[in-house]
Amino acid sequence: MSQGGKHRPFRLPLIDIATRQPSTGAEYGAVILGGTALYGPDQDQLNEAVERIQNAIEGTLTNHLLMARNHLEKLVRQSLGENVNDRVLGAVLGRSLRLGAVCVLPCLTVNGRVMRMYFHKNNRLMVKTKLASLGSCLSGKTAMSVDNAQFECFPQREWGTRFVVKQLLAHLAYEGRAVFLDEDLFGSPLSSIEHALSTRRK
Amino acid sequence: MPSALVASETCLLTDQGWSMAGSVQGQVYLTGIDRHGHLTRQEAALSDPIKRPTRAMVGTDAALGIFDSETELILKDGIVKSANEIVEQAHSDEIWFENVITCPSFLGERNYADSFVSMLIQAAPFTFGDAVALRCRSRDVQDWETVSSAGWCRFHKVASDVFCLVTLSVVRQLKGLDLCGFVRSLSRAVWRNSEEGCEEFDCLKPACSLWYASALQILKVGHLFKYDGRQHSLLVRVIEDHTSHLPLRKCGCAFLDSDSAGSVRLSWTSGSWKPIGSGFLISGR
Repeated sequence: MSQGGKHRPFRLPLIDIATRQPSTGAEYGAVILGGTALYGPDQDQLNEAVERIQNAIEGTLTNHLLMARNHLEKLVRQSLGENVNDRVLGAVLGRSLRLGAVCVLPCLTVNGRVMRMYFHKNNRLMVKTKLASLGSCLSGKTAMSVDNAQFECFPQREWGTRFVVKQLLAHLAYEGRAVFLDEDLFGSPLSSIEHALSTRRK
Repeated sequence: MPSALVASETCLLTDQGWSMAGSVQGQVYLTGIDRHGHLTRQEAALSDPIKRPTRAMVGTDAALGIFDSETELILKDGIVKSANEIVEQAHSDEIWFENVITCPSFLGERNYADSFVSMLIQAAPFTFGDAVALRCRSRDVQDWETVSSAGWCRFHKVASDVFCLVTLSVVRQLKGLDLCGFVRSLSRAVWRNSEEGCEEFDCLKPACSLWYASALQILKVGHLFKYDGRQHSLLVRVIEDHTSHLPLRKCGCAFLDSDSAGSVRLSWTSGSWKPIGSGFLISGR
């Protein structure tokens, strides 16, 4: 296919990236990402396809402060305009994490499990600022609802910010600087711990 | 005079036990390996912190540490690779290390507790003079009665979470095997994942896991470190495992992180001596 007089290289459809070694005798390209090997019919095309996925992941995360894995995967597929195998997407996300472009924020769920939220390294300062703001708000109140926290952090209440602010509070809970009082209500454990220590001293 | 750039969070084996490089300044005695492979002390110097854009996490099934991306680590055959190169090649089967996590016997009666207390203060969300509060990973803390009967801690429930309140002055008096026993009991109370039957530590805050691994080694409890994946891991899981292990350990996980707390330059006098950083042998230039 020619375009503007120049030969346009063939782009490997992302769904054609395999995670199993091709059984045919033909030559193929391979990229090893952690414990997953990706295969394609040509090394250059495979490298270009992996880079395309990585750019989509990092581009999507740049535009969002904090994302859950399923939301990230959905938007990455939309951005690429193609379907991508889950294992392929996971391996390339792992590459972005390995190189430090993408970071993980651990968040506690109401059931005591750990949920991983993802953010781009360029958004780290913003994440830290919001966490510090929420931490100081929380210490001055007996309880804080997610709605109140959203108002403190995102006064414009943009779409999706309620979920983000809840995960930021859940990260404070993971660190032990907040506790779940209810699914949408957080408190600081500080006064209760101080009381426990003071009664012990008496 | 050989020197190496290490991250502020790299744990060095000082006379007080594992201490973060960023918390030690000036002249200090460190334990390392001499040309005969013996653990020996040598005087070293640490510079003031230097700003750095990234840090690297390198982990095996015996130890994990945070390093500057330029820190050069010694592999099994004496080959030297920077943490950055290790991250690039972590999927390779060629990256093996000799880890040193035990404390040398000639330091056995020294008081290590102060360093461990410093690590606890850094790990805790709240400190209150003589006490720190740590959130227990599991809400059903196993053996809490046995643990709290020792007198150095107690448990306090806030909403659905349990906090371990540790009395630091009691911990500071512990030495030798008593301290090892305390580190093991505290780790099982605070960092235990009761569903998976292991202790879980944050990979990017590995100091407490290093103390735990050292305590287990001294108590002759076999253990393994497990990671989420080779490319990145949020948590390191410490699993008791009594099968025999090879003296050499394969790289299990290595990645870069953009949240660097800075680095310090570590310099020492003898070119044949290698300092131990978070259980890994560091090469100097």
